[in-house]
Amino acid sequence: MAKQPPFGGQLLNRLVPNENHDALLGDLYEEYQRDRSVLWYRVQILAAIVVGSLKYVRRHWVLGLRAIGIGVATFLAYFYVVGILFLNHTHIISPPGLVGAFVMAETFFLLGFAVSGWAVVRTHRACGIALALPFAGLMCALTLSETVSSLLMPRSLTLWESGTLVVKLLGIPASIVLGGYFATRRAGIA
Amino acid sequence: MAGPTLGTTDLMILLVLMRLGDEAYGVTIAREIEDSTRRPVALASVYATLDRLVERGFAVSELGEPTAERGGRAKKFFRITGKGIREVRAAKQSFVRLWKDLPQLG
Repeated sequence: MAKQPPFGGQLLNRLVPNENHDALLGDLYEEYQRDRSVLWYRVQILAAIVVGSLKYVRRHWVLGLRAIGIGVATFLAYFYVVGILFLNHTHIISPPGLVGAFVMAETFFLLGFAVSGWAVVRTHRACGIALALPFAGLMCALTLSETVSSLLMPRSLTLWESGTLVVKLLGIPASIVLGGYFATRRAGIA
Repeated sequence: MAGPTLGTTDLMILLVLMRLGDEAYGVTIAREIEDSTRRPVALASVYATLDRLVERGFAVSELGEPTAERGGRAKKFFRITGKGIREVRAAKQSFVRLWKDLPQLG
């Protein structure tokens, strides 16, 4: 009998609150024994995390709004406190060239999103990672709206701007979820 | 009487529950849908719809016994209720009314 791919069940139990996990994991195990691939199994786990989180947010939308508020407040606090420290020490941290400056700026922002994701999930620990999603969605929407408004100007995006947009759209949700992951309980949701 | 309130997925799953009878649980439901639509189905979406149907009183669930072939986990069986059957019937009547006299649909 083939063993189940590792981490899927633990990850699901850790990130999403749902009473159906046991039956779902049993179904996945049964199908995996039949003829399904490891990729199929992992996609199903990912789908369960996304579907479960969205369902939770739809049911607890007030908590979702609160999570957005906490995320934004944390990001602003980070931006203000760390940003001032950062600006005061630019003579020590002087990045080499334009690429170095870009990497440093993006790292600064993405670290801020990771800290915010951590704060959102830490203050809603019983909800797993679910409430980090509306915050991530809002941040991505704001980034996109910024891009759309710049597209309305009579010029097209430069290669540099397009690259920055892709980094942001992938990096923002990834940082928030990663930050949130470290705030979830190791043994599963309370 | 108000019209049916079922979405396409809800209706499809209720029909599958009727077809499968006592054998309706996550895997068999997903397989039946995959066979009829010829599209892959996420088991989590099936459970999300089933949960909604249970909440609305159109289906009920019951846990089975844990088995080794499922890694020691129990199956969760689902069954359509009388209210669910009435809702499916109402949906069918609405569809038939709309379907009638449409030459494009033969």
